[in-house]
Amino acid sequence: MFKLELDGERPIFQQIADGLEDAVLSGALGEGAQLPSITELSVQYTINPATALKGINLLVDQGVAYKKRGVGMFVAEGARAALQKKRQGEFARRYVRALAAEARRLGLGRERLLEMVAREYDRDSD
Amino acid sequence: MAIQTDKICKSFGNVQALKGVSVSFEENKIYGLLGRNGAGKSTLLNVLANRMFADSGSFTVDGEPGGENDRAQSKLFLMSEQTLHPEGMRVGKAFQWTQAFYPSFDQGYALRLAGEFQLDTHTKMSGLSTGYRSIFKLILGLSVNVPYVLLDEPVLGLDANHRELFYRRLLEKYAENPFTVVLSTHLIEEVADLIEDVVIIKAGTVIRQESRESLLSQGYTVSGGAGAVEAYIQGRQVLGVDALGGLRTAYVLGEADKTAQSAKDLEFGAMDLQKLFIQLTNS
Amino acid sequence: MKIKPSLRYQLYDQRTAVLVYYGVMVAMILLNLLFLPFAGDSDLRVTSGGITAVTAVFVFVVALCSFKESFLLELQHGVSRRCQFLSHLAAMGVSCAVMAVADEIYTLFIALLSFPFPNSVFSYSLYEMLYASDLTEAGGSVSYTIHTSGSTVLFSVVFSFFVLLAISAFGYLITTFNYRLHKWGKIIFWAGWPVMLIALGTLLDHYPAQVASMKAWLLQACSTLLGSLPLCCLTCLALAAVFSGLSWLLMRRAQMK
Repeated sequence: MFKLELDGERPIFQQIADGLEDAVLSGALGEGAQLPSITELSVQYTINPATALKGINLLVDQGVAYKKRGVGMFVAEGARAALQKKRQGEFARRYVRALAAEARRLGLGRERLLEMVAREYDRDSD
Repeated sequence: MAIQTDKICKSFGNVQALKGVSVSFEENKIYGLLGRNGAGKSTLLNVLANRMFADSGSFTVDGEPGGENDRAQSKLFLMSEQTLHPEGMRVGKAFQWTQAFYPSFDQGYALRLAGEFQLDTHTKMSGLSTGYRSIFKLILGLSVNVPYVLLDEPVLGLDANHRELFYRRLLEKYAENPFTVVLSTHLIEEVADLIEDVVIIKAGTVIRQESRESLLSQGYTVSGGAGAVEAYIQGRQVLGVDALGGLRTAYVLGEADKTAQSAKDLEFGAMDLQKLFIQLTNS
Repeated sequence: MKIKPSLRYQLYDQRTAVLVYYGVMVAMILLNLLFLPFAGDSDLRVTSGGITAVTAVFVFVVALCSFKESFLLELQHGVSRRCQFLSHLAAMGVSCAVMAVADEIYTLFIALLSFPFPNSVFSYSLYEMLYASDLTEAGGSVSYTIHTSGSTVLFSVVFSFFVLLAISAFGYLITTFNYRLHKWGKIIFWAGWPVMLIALGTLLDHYPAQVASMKAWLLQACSTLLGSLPLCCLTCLALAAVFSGLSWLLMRRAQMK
């Protein structure tokens, strides 16, 4: 089961969907793997089953998950690649913008910021 | 299929507890019946469970009159703050009697839950603490298997572990075989994610009945420096403002206007049910 | 309607008390019998006369205690007041019948004991004492004879049943009435009626003649209404019906407290 801390900032179904996407991206849920059921999600996070269903449906709408009748929900073939592509599109808005804003607030110059980013990127790839 | 009330009024002496309450609890949904202490939540539930009579107004259960009607009443079960079992009755015996009155009651499940909650079935009602009285009645509510289960302050006196256990068992039961749950509580934070629809009652009047999502989507929070927030909320419908030093958080109805000139340097967030509730019911 | 479980519960509610009551009654007689062999020629006697009179008091007390708890428990279990009341009538009928039979069995059981102690143990039912007895006056001495036969056994049961029914219905009326009273109503009512009785007593003292004639009239009415077994049964039934009807009027709007 993936770990998920619900916060009050965004709608819960969104957080459920994001959490499952993260699990697919990290490989914790491989392609073809079964997703947790609505009941499991609902009980685990004490949320309304309708909310859990809505989160799962977000994945279905994107083609990340599909339903096997009477069995459950599964991660689709090519889900990871599709998610990477989607997240890449969101990357600038979700992360870089906040990064740049914080750098500006702290008075870090453009060059300095790029340098730091480059260093971090290289370190993690070691 | 629903419990539907029509302009229910109820007074105690010169206190008007319910002032024309019209709500409906539809099948297979989890409702939050939210209100401050004394708002009329318990009175409404007591009327629905035929324990009290409305002064005027009426209600139906699946289309038929609900008061003094055995068939309608056998479809619902109210777990109330008061314990209506004789003080000398033992828990196990009480389970047997619930079974006699409600053939759908699952005694095996009730005993299993009693084990999980460490409720000794040999204890008499008089020997149960507040928390264990709640647990005893919760077990009845979870095991009775009727279409409408009304829970009045269900977690009164329960510790965090037992509350969590209760919410989980409730959701399991619901997922396995959906039924209508009405959770009446003033502990909104705990049930906020659990409920699908919200009924907010204030001083005997229903002020909101809608899905939690649509209620929350009607507003947002905006926070930042006092000057910036005050500039932004000019001319907008504001439910209330929290102040923390020079910082302000405003609860605003409508769509967030992040492109507004005054929105610069402000942070926007989702409305939180508890905050919204407090703002709506502060008088 | 949930008549069946409701009836079962109301009978269950009384069961223990009834068993304890008969247990105590039997134990008391047995205790008395223990002393008989040691009594020698003395005048010690064991007499059981009209246990139903005692049972009537017991039934009254049980009825007084049979409303609130079962009313609330049955409300918890979705039983309408109407259904509760109908079950109550049935439960009252069943328990009065059981006790009428039990009283007679008790009476006969002790009569059986009179075989080993022919001159020391006597046992009569209330019916036999009231309706199957002769009061004869011969030569200045009054003799009181009771006739026991097969038919008096049957009549005793019938008589006890109707008497207990009326008493039980009366007890239930009082307890439903008391439940409906508010706190202050209770205080005023229960403190008020002894005061009223005393006041009435002093008032009546001023009209001795009228009181005497009223007493005579009441006695006359009673002896007419209770004069024979059928009349007595009818009167008891009518009283039970009136008490129960009033109880229903009080109960149909009763709310949880």
